[in-house]
Amino acid sequence: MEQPLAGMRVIEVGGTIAVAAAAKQFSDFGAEVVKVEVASGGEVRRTPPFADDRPHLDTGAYHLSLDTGKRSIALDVATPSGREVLGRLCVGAQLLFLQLPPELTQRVLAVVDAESGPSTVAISPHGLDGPYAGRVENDMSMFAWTTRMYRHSISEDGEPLRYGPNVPTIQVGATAAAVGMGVAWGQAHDGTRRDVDVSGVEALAGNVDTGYIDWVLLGTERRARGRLTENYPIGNYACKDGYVMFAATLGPQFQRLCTAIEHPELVDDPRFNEPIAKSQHWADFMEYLGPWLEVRTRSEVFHEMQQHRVMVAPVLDMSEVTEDPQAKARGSFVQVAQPLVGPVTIHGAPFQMEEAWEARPSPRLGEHNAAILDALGYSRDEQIALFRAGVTG
Amino acid sequence: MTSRALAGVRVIDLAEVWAGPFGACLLGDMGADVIKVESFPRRSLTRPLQPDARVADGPGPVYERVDSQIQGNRNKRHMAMDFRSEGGAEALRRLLASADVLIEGFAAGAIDRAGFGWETVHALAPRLSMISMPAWGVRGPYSGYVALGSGIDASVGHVSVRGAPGEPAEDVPGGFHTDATSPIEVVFAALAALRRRERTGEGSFVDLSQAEGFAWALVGSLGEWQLAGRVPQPLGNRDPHVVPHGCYRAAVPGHWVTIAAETDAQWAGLAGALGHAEWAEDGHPWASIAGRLGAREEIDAELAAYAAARDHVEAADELQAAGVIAAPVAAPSTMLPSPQLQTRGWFTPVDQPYFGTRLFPGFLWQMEPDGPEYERRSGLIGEHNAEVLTELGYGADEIRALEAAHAIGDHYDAETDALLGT
Repeated sequence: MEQPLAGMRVIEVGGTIAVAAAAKQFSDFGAEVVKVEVASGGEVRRTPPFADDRPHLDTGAYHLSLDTGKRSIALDVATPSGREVLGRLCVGAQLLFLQLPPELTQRVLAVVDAESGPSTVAISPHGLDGPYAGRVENDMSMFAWTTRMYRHSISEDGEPLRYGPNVPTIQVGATAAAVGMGVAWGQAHDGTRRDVDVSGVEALAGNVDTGYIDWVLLGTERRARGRLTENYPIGNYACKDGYVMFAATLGPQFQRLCTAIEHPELVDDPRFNEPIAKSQHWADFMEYLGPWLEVRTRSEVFHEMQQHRVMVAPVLDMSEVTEDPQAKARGSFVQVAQPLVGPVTIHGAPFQMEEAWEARPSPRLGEHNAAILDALGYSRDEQIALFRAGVTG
Repeated sequence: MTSRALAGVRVIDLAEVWAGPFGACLLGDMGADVIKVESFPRRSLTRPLQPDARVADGPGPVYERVDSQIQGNRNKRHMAMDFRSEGGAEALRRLLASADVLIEGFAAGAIDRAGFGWETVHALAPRLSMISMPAWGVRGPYSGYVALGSGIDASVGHVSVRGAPGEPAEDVPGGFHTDATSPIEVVFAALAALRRRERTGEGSFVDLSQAEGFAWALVGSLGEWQLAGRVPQPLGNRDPHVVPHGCYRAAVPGHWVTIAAETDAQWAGLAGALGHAEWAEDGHPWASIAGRLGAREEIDAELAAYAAARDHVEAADELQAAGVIAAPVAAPSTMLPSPQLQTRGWFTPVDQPYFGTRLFPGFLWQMEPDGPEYERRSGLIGEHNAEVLTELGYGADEIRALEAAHAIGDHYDAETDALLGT
């Protein structure tokens, strides 16, 4: 079966992690993606880690994971000549993703034909207009604006913490991909070309886990508080070979948990059977739960508890996630033969649909310069002239 | 009116809590006709019986005053039905036959037991696509296992890299991040399925593991192990290759500011803002990246002292003016006055029943010519039962009969709760 996005053409410009993540979704589901990048290589190629800790534009983890299956042209869109090439690339394309400094964004958007050009999705930390439009942010500082960092700390008065590196940034890219699909669908059906402005801060702060809604409706500004002992068990608990993550505080969950640890009588125990008493007897409860956990591995806790439909999961590290039986059975990770590095294990499809997704090798910087310029009708002399002037690389 | 990009697409939202419903909501923001089918008489998890931490004070039913219900259910029509009853099942069948996408978030297998598994649905409505989104997916040995976002966060490795060096793992808070990432994948999956249908004429089944839908954002952490052979550990706010890169306590109690300088130019701006332009001059040990990497503690101490004397928002403004990466760690009360969000009109006044008009969080994107709008505020339970059933061809008498049989409902009370026991 053909991949769902076969026949679709998508252009990405800017070389950032967010823009690469957005276009990756299209590439892996079958679209033809052209990656327009500066000859010096953008953020997605320069961000560590690298194979064997040797920095190289073609061997970084972000590039190897997020540029899969794309074609690469090294092209300087800060020049009129570069933008002329980009304009030709856009003819017949369905989507243009870009993340560039504000003034360059406007120039690049101007090459898109207002009637027949692709719909566009511009990504930036704060949006294309407003007093912060020119601010420079990174994964941490953008995240800081979204109310989520405020709620992510070890203790109520503790330092607010990042998520995993670039987790928020990739969420911004995924958001851009989702709305990109929407406007591409719209344009195909109503002929309307749409221009989308994705502010990273808005994309994260507007999502369903925003802390802002509590403030609007309840007037509260919650912070994280580390180990919770008022209602339990929730959060990380130690067992024989590491930690498990519980979310088993609510009535039926707590009941099933007590059954799972073979103490069903605790459900009716006056220390635990109503919220105020329960909040005062965490240590008592641990006399039952602690020893049960102590003699069981994460895997044993997980499977035994899930037989009782208790919400608990193993805390796995990055050397373990690929060995997880569920991940193996589903093919949650795939190996891609990357020309310069060899076989590299990366995350698989974000959702599974029959014969829909495939990760192909990531391109070397500028690997497809000649093929792309040939197809756009540039003569050999024109290609030499562009190269000589540093417009291509 | 909200965007019309997805005009003509009908989505049925059978999911509960956040991840599925918010995915449907985002499709509604782009103009899809989203019909949320809530559980009745069993209350969904975001429609509690008793006031709790998520319920606002005030008049009206408790289950209409829940923050987690209201966030994520705009731009939909709201039905409530018991599709395990004969009348409810028939209504759902007719609804599905009229729709393009079904989103369901039960544990794997539950929807099959309720009589609406993929084979059944596909036979009934061949053009309909179905997205099932259990924690770890439909297929595989964990099929039927249950989790909230925090369990998924643990199993994909994110918990192992959150937190800070030297802090106890027990105190790393649970994270419900997949509630934010899964909705985005729901949108992409729904539209990928629709696009495939353009050629095949048939709907697709999407097995959306919320674990897989999020895990691919852990590129850097997985790469540490796969490419460099290191098991990544929690780093707090540090970046091993950038100094400074941190979060510093501000003068305002409980507030913090993040500061980073990734390049020499940003460092020069920072040094100037701190009144020490010489820190960025040739010859000074901190003027070079290698020099700064070796002086993390001393530089952090300088920034801690700087932040401790300033308001978190003003410090970020001052540093940004010097070209430095800096942002306050925004609490909701910090965001609200943000000149950026105010200028962009991000906060949106919404008249929500029992709350009156409040400034709600805005949309995930802005769009020309037809941007997202609150065309419909979050619906009340069963608010559009009659409207949708009428569209499906039900007569007034038939709708009354469904109500009388408790196959549909528009409120919860002691009487409807009592139906659960029967």
